[in-house]
Amino acid sequence: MSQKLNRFLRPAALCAGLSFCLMAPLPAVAQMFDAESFTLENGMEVVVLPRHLAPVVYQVVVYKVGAADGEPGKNGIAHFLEHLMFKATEKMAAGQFSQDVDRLGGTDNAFTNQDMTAYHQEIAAEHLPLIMAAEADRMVNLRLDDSVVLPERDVILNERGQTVESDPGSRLVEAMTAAIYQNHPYGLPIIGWRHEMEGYTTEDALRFYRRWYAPNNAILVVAGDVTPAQVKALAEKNFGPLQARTLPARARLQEPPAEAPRRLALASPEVEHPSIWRRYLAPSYRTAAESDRTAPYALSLLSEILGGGAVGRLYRRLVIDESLALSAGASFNGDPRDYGSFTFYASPRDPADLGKAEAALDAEIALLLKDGISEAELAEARNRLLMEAAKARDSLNGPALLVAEALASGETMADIQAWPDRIKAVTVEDVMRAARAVLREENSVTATLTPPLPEATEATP
Amino acid sequence: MNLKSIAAAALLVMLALLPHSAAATEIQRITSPAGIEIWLVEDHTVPVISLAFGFEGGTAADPMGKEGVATLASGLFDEGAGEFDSRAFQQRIAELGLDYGFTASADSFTGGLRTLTQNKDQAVDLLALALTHPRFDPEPVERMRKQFLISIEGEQRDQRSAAYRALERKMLGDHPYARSNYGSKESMSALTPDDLRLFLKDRLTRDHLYVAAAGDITAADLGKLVDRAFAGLPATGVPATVPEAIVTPTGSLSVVERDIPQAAVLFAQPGVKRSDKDFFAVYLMNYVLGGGGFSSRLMTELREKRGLTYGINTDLVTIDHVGFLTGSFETPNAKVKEALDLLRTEWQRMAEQGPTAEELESARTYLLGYYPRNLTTTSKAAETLLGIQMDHLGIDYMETRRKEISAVTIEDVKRVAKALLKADALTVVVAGKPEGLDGAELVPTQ
Repeated sequence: MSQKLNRFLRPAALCAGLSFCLMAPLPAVAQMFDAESFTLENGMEVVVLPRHLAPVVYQVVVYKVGAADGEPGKNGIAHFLEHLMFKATEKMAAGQFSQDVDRLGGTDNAFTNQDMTAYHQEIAAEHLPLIMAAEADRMVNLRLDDSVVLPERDVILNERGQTVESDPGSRLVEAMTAAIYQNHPYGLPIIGWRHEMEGYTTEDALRFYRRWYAPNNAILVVAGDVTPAQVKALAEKNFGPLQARTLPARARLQEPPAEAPRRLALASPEVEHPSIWRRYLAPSYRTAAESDRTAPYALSLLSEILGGGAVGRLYRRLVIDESLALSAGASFNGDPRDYGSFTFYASPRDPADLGKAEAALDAEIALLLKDGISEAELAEARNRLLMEAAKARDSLNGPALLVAEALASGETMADIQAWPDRIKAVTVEDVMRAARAVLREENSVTATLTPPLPEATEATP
Repeated sequence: MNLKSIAAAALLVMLALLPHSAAATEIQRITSPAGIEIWLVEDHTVPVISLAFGFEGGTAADPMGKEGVATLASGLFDEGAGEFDSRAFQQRIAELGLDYGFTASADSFTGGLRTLTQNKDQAVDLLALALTHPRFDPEPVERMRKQFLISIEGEQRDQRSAAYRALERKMLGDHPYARSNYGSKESMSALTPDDLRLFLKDRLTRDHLYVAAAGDITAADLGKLVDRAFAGLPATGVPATVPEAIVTPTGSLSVVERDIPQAAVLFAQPGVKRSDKDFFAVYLMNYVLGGGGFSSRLMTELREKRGLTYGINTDLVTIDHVGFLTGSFETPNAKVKEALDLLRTEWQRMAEQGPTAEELESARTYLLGYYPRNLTTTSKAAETLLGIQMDHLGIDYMETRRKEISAVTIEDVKRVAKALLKADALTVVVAGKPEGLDGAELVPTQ
């Protein structure tokens, strides 16, 4: 699911529909990342991931504040501030940082999700001092006034128009998210509701900036053709002098027990083909530490068994054996700070068979809960996840983002490094215990996405 | 050709523009025991090997009445071969942990394979089996056909795709480049396993083949590995023939009516081909105008100053038989006219005055500094080498292109801007319910 909003999407990267937005994340793994980490005196965490295939570095600074830390009535302000972070500081003109990065052949972007806000650049290794200095500068020296803030407010309204309101899949995700959370702010859209966005002010953005942006609320991760000693010297020089601040507590409303399943239907002429989605709330990597520590690892394996591409149970049964569906799968997201989720989807081959597709998903879930999984299935899924983890090292930004996001969600480096071992330790009983705890009807939302009903189209002359 | 192939073409252009860095990654040229040429970037720090390979001839060479055959074939190389049926083949891919896939684009049919070093021999054996003994069993063929038929419907339904298809038809008429990669509903429905076999026999042959690799393998081992994958292919096939395409500067304004609050605006005009001596001058000009993201004039004027759009981008698209400039943005229906007026003003300003010296230098340093970012993973490195090979730019290309980019003068860019850019010749297609556009013609819904 598209759980982050980018400052700018290059046309080729535009999310074309719900199916592309729901790609499962790469398994989180770092045991073999050769990571080195340390903390500056002001509390800023730093992680270095050396990789020397090309003379390039990737830098990400992530702040432990996201959309779910917004104020009532100003929901989405975290994302608005993310856009405004590209405006002027005391030293830099508006847009200067991005233009400098471009001019040197690099690229930069930023994203906001419910728990964090991240700023990242990829550039030739020799320019790391420049991008680190600029990132440190805008951590504390941002200058905003109405002349830059108000046009940017129109930009984010257009972003909402382009990425949410013109895309029925995104509209459905927004509605599903609003329905599954009864109290927690994860139910509000990251970008904000249009009527609230229209009222954002310069002071709103500055208040949020002063409250949350500080070295002791940030994590720096640098990957690529660089040594830990080089990064340490640069980080101490650029971020070291910045003062720590007293940070507000991240006191978020919690979910009450769920009493009833929820159900949504969205019909739109832009929908190419119907699909059905079912989402259950689940523990996240962080919250599971307080209950069943193995649960998120077990759910990762369960999602691989059920939804692992073309060999998962759902694809094999619904798509191949029964020729009922065009696609079918499942995915687990354990990354968020407060709640994870487990999602099923199917798209019927014949548009008239949406009900059959849902019944088939229900039957698979019932079969799982009745008969469980085999040792052989678990072993195959484990093997596939560990191979994916090994291949994940063949990337510059992948491991860096993974580490930054995990730390910002409240995991530790030790958690990240232990991921393969914890996956290896999961038993059939662990998987079934987690499945029974999560796959409860009252814990779910079911949503259908369809073209307009036949009556509606026949009414058109 | 569709949005995806445009994106792929744009990517190939970017690949083709890799500047050379002082500490250039070493490219080895190898000839395998069976005589296949391979380019390699060797790196042993991660136990992963990526192969990128391509065959000349893509969807634009699909025979009349068989449109979509290359695309259908691209979906079937992991759906059963030799003794493995679809399910067994997918099981094998999963057991070996392979990233494996094929893409049919306008002028080429490409594939990629990424494997852990420990599984490399089994991985290429599976690839060889798929290329030489595909099964094309009825169940997977019908399943993939159905998926592509739904994609054809989707291209018509999605406002951005519908607008792009309309733009291509306006610009390119009935040239094969204006067709969908999927073909038509009729042609896709009629394709048979024999059509697929004929495609293999004509196209997937060693005289059309290019291979590149990167990662954890030595030159000697790579030669053996590549022979294991490709030596069993037929030596020769039938050349793909595609006529030259003419881009018509229509100056037209069309509307694809859709009941949506925010309009998608697409525009295009003639450009230059990759082989044009002014290619880099035009590329640099486009970067300043609209290709340079937040550094471009169009992004500054439409987004940064006025908040009219979330983003605007232009590309110089060069595929084998045509070159054109194209771009897109989205804006509320009420703002389309204002945004289009600004677009035309900037187009004309660039035609009349060209870039400033500072803008040109920023574009140039971008291109020169960009290169190493194409080599940050083994799969990117292999794809980069393949792109250079398939565009016939030479193994010393990273050197020659640096010289060519450095040699472009501001007079060159002003000259090409003046000769090429015609604001009143733009072909514009708007999907939505734009307000205040006088004289726009409606595109009939298919």
